[in-house]
Amino acid sequence: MLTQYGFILILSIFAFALPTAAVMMGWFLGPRRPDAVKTATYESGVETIGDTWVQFRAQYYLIGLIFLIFDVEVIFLFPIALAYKHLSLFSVVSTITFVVILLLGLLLEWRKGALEWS
Amino acid sequence: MDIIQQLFPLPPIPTLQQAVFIPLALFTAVCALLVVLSPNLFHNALALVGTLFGVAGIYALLEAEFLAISQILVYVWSISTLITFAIMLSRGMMFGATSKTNKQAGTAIDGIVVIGFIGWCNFVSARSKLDVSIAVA
Amino acid sequence: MEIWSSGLTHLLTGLGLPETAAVIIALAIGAFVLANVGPVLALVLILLLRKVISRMQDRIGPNRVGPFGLLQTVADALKLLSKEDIRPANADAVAYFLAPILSVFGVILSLGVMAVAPGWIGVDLNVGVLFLTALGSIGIMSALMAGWSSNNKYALLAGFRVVAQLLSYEIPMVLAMFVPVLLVGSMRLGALSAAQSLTIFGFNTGLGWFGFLMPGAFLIYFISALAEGEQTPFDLLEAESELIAGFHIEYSGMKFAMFFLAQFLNSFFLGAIAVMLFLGGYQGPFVDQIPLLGFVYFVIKAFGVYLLTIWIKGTFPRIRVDQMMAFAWKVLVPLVLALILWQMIALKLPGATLDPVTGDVLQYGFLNYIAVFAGNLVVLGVVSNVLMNHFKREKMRTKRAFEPKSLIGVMQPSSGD
Repeated sequence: MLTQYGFILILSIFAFALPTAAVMMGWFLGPRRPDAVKTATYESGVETIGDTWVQFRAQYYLIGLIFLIFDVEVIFLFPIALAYKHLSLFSVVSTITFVVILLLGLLLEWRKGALEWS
Repeated sequence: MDIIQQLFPLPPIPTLQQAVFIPLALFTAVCALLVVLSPNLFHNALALVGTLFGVAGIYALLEAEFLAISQILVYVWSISTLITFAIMLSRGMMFGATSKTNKQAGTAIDGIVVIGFIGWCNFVSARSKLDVSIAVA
Repeated sequence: MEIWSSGLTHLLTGLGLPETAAVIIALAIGAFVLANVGPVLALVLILLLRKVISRMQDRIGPNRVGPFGLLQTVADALKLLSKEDIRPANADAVAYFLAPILSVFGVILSLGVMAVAPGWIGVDLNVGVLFLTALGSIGIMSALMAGWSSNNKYALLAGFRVVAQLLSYEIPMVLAMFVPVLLVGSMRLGALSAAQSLTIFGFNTGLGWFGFLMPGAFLIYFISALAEGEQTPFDLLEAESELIAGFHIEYSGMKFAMFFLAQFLNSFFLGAIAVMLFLGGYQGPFVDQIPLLGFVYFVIKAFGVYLLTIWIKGTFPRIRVDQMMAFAWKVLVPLVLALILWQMIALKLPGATLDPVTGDVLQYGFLNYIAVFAGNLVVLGVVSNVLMNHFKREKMRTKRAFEPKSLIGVMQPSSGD
């Protein structure tokens, strides 16, 4: 088991080193002549006005919250799938109830307009 | 000399598992410190993600692989994006530095002195007991 | 994992290395080879995209560098290497540097769990399917970091849009991956591929693909994978022809190349996951006799799915952001949840072979499979109906927009134009 994660660790070291090496090589091979115009914020040749922060819609936060609910649901569902062949009728019925409650929750979100992106 | 070695034994040569654990724990701890100490709010969020990854790595090291994966799925996927969205929605916090202190340095020093004193007392009494036990042995 | 590493370990211990060191070196060699597969593969993928798309658009495509233009992407990579690496004055140095690297990091890591042939798999993790999903979080973080650190309004906006899109389509994608996992009862990608064999008269035809048994789940997975890989018709954050580039607008040189590489590899690997879960993985005729054939099958299938995404890229129009969100949350998620519910019931229908002592299921019966298939057909029908209606409407709208006014009288302004 630990050997498996050891492999993942070693692979992640290489996966990190490879793009780093590529970017570094770009540093050495490419020219470096920054000037004020070149390093200005790119906005199709127009001077940027004000800060980068603009008014964002709260919809993004709502999507994040709904995602959180379903993400946790996924975490609960996968172990059930692994044990599904051994489950008794009672546990199957409780699992189905769990999914149905989530489906009802999605319907509620839908009715309340949380899924509208306008 | 004996007593010093008993009090501060040399670290043993780490096993492979420890050799992985120590950098991982250091990474987690440094990221956790950055969460608190970095003046930039977005850097704090990124360091938090780093901490969560480090903790997931420690779970994997403890052979709790499902826990590690759930940690990444729930915390890195959703909680950290929620945090970033929350930062984004609050104007003026996303860019620029925020102050890390809250003008309570005097209270903090008082607290450190009191807790330090209690800790020192404990340490002294513990050492005296240890001396006794060494002498008995 | 044992299959490929044990031989190497034996060789190294034979040279007189201690056991632990031999294992580590064997693993490191394997990891190095795997990590290098990614960039090389990306060169092939980019060339393939350019060639096929240009054929679709009645062009020839790159044909100057090397025979048939085969070395074009290599030349492009070298060109990008020699480009200046511009860092905007207001950019945040650390996050700006880390973002492109992390994007490649997450993608290459997913190579570690790909089951490419019988026994040929980096590691067959117990949580393989969830591992692949969890890697997506690195992509999200890199998009956020790139968008924020560039200190550009458009980059930041695009970064948050990417996150919203990825979050929305992650749920139907994972739940669609859940459907075959529920049938097999394992998250190991090796086991999932192995379960798709079909033995007839003692001969493994290797055609028991879950794509045949669960076409509905496959369609939902494929659509979500298109959105996750930011492919047409879901590439509205990218929109090469209209917007500039999305969250990596400020990147240049090798850093831009990293984002480019990560995106191509990501869409290819999402296709490869579809192959492992739904299209039989390495399964095919005679794969039991010649394991190398499994690798050939896998590569052919994965490139087939990739060509399908190119085809879609070449033909489909882009959709609007509200349509995209509505499609994920109002069509795909309820449908895939309903499908899971139905499959949970279907797998407990009578007809399965049970263990006489514990009552565990040993082998699902004919009735179970038929019920699963029927539920999937319904889902397939509903999803394709929604898609057909959408594109029919779009076609009407474009037609109306291009017709001269005198022919249709007064144009009615329709909402959302």
